[in-house]
Amino acid sequence: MQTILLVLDILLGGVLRRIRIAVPVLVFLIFLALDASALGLGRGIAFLPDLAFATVLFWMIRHPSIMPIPLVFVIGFWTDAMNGSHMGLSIIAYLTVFYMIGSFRADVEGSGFLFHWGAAVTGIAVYFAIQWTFYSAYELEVIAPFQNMIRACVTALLYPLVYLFNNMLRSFLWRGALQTEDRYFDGA
Amino acid sequence: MARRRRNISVAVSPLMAWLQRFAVFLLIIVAVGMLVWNRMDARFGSNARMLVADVMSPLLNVFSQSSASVSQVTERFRTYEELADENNRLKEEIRILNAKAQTLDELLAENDRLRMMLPIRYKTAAAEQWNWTRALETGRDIGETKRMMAFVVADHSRRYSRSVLINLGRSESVRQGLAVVNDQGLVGRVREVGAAAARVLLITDPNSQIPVIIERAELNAFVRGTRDSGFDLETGLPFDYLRVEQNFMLPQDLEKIQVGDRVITSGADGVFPPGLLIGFISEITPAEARIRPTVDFDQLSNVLVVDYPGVDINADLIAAGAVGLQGLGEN
Repeated sequence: MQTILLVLDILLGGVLRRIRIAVPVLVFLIFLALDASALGLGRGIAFLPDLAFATVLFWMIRHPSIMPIPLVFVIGFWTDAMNGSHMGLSIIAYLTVFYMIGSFRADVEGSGFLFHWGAAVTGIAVYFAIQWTFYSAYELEVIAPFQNMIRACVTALLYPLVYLFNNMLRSFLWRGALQTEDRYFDGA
Repeated sequence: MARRRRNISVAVSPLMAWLQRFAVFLLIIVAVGMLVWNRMDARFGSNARMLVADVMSPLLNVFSQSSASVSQVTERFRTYEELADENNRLKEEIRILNAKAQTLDELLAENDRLRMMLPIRYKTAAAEQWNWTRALETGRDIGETKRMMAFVVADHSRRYSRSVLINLGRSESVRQGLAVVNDQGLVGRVREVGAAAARVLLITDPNSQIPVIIERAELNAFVRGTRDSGFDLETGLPFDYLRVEQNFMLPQDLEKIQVGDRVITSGADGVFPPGLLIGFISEITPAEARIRPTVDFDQLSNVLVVDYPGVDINADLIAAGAVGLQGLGEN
């Protein structure tokens, strides 16, 4: 069993570790496609958690060098294009969250999971609030905010699972070189 | 040389630092600019959206097909009682439909006889509607009309825009403006087309406006999608509704409409074939008349893209007039 795991680790891990910088973006794309695909949930899809955003948020807080400003811009652009929404809507929301996380990241860094979750919940609230505000402004009418509020709550509640998954992924990808590369990438 | 390079870097570095510091703000301004541009010209971003849809469509196809397979598997695990009930219900439906079909055949034969007696012969909206209903039922193409089966791969009908993504694109001759239907009625129209995918604007989107006929009242009107939902009192479930545009109606016309009236496309825009079922009038208030669509937008999976050749209404009227004059002259 251990041999099989070792072989898998060498094969899978060997490939993924070579492209580890791109792995968070790949995870984001898979979650985005999963979110957009018609899952047969009907009306229920309006209340699915935004796992793609939660993933980007995790890397913004935990490993910001993986999420530089131009990439955040492209991710916002991609989200708008994928969701068929007005171009610019998600970009504004992503960049605002990026700026906000950057301003209090120093306080969160090194703290426990609860601080990380607190920062994420704030980011999620800001993201959905910004989207709703700009969408209402764009349509020149106050759009009912309930759907956004429910999605924000579900995303915030399920964030620990996203944290767990991405943290495991991070440990796996940066195995053996975590300390040195973190210092290099984060400029710490 | 080295001193010159150092001087340049000394001069440039404060600018770079400033740019880095304010990059977020600059990019937010760019994004706001994009949003404003989008507001002024709705076509902006269309290419980008379809490019992304094309790139993502293989992944979306995988997820959609997988979810469809899971649904099929769960469908198989139904209890014997459920299957027996459904079987009985379907038998009853077949019995009723057979009876209706017999009556309909008699009426059609009578209609043909009566039309043969008329001096002027041209296609009426009802005849056109009959052709369409037959075409959708039998799966045959009519005239120059082409029909293409598509699969919904992404559903954004519950997010900001009420649209879905289908797995057909330019490579399958899908183009902007084509009507999209399913067995329940009119779904929407193709808004954006990519190489391997197309975005369909649903009739429930506020940007969708369709010329219709309210059958019993014999009224021509326009219907528009809304962002609001109604509640089905029987099931307690919400549903999307459309609104009859009152800007194009006389106040007394609204009084002619009754709850339960059938609403079909008039075909006046040359985009949608006439006679496609949209829904039924579900509620009338002093301010508006609401239509509940027959299509269940929560369960959209297979749809038909209809390449309708369109109708040149003026040409049709002239042709009808010419035939009529000839007929009178002959008599």
